[in-house]
Amino acid sequence: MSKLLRILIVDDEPQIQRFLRLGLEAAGYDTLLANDGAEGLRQSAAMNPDLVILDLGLPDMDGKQVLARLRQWSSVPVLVLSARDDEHEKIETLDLGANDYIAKPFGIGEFLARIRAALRTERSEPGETSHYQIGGLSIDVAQHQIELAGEPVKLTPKEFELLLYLTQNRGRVLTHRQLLAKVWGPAHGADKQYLRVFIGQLRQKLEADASNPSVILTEPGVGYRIAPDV
Amino acid sequence: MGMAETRNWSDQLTALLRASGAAVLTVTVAVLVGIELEKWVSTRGISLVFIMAVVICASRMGFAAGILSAVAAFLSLNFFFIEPRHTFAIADQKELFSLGIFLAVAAITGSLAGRLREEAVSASRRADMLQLLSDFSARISTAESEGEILAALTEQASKAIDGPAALFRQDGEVPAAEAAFPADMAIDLNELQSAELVFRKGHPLAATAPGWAGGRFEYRFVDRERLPDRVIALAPKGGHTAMTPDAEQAVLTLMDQASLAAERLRFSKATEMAQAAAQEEKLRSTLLSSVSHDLRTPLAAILGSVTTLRQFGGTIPVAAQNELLAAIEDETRRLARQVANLLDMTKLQSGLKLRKEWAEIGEIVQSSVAAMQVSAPGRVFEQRIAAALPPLKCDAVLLGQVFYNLLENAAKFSPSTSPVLICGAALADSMEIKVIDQGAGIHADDVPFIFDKFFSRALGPAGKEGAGLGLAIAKAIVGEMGGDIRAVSPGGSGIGTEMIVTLPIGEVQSTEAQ
Repeated sequence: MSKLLRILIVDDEPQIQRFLRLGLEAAGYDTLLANDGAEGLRQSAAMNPDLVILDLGLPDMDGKQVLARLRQWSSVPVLVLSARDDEHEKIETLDLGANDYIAKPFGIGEFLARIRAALRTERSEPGETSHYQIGGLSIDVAQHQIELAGEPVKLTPKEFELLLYLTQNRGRVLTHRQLLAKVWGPAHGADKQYLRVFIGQLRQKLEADASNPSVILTEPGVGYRIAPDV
Repeated sequence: MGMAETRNWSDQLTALLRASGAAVLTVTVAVLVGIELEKWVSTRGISLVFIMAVVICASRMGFAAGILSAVAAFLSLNFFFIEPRHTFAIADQKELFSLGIFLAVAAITGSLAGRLREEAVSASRRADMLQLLSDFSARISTAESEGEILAALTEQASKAIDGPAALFRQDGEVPAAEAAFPADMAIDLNELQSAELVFRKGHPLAATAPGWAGGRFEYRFVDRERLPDRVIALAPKGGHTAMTPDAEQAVLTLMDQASLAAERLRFSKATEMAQAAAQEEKLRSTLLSSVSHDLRTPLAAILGSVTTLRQFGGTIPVAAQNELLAAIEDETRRLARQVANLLDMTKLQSGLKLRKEWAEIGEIVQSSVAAMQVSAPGRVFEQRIAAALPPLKCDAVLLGQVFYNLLENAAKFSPSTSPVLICGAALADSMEIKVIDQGAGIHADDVPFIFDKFFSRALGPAGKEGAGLGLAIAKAIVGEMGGDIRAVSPGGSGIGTEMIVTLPIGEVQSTEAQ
């Protein structure tokens, strides 16, 4: 078996550290601990972790500051722990380069699923894979073909591009801005209405029940993600 | 005369009568003096006596009296002292000439002295008005409410017109008397009806002469733009037309300044309120993020630990399982404390009902220590409560909460190996309970703020030390019991912090009863 994946936990609450450490170790990861932002940055540089779990509330500096500094030299996946409801803050951390966030309180199952999603998208470089399978949905990237339960589905080029980008980041939330910039170009970063219309069309074509989606999930106020496990 | 326009004929007649009376009186005295002096001095000397009479009359009574007395003196001199006597005929042409000169001199002297007198009077009146205005400015510059400004306006206006003044506010349909000077002046239905009429019609109302329908007051709007709902009623001394131009000017200036000051006050009040609202808003958002953190962190630890145990219970070592269970227990207690604190704060803010009964302070402290011992096992809490302390009529549960919060802080902010000391002693009419720790103490800059809501020593992004409610709650509870709480840092031993609770001995009045 290959070397264990190493996960750095940057959190100052001992009780949170404890269950994260025990849960991650039980799930087969190696863990590192940092009690504050400075220590977190130091360990990120010295120990080269495969993923960083970052709490936004740290005693020495704001978690967003840690993230911004980390992103200056590292592309390690970062999962942000947030005790805050603030959508703006979630968007801000994602735009700063966090791969995903999870709001406290959370169960260990949901948490591990996010870890797996963040690690998976990191290891499969976009474009390398030519075929994706999400439940009954299969995507052939090279042929631009979509099949739902064996039946071909026609998508417009924009719809296809949007679905592909979400799929390449399966399980990970993508902000409205990230999606718009990727599919429509940076100039359209604020046109959320486009996005809503195209997501609606995709759901009509791909979801069993478009009003209760199980593939393309909404993160209210933040963006969309493809369900990590369908 | 400038004031002639404002006075009607009857006032002028009165003034003229008074001036004539004075002239007649002075000249009569001069005639009697002249008759006495005639044996020793010449007619020329007697004419000087008349000149003196004219000067005295003019300088006392003014211009009109001066002229009148000059004429009277001329006639009397002619009648009593110039041959042929007891007629107005003049025998000698030379006498006629000197009498002519006398008349001219008397008239000029009289008019000059009279003018001088009148100017002196009006200068002193102007000085009075200026003094009045400057007193008023000083008063309104420190006024903190519109009521104060308007009370000052009423008082100074009353002084300016030398008669009663009252201020009415439009209060729905019926005007209300807001201020009056003199304060004990009677305001009856007549005045209120007049004020109501002024508000309804939107026109000022003149006073009427005694005996006529209406009232002795005249009613004016203080300032139609800045204070459209205020009317001032003025009753100058000496009747409805007796307001002098100086008083008139002073009243106008007073009203102008008062309305400006009221407006300025309104603006500054609005600014203050906006600032207070912003402060409140900031406090609210601090509370939200602080409560969010303080409630969610224990919840996250509990939920995380429980789900970890369920998912991996079989695969993690027993020691680690116990760690998770201990964490669940600790965090549940922490959560319960946070919730209790928040509920206490809410209760305190919505007005607290004290349940007072006789209690021993030693027992209350003991129960708080016992509760602390559960969350900080192994920590030494040393109790030194004097045995002879009198019983206290207090809410034992809330007071216990105070000591618990103090003990919790003491334990949190000092090394876990150091003891926390609780001392109690009686003073003259109060008792003092000190909670003393051996920690790092409180930074001098922080001491004034530690009892503020949401102040927390390490209020960094994490707010690790809690929501900063504990001391605010303690302060509020002790205050409700008529006592006080203060911090001394460093304490008497040179290190740590002393939190000193002072409670009055004897029946303690709840401040809520007020």
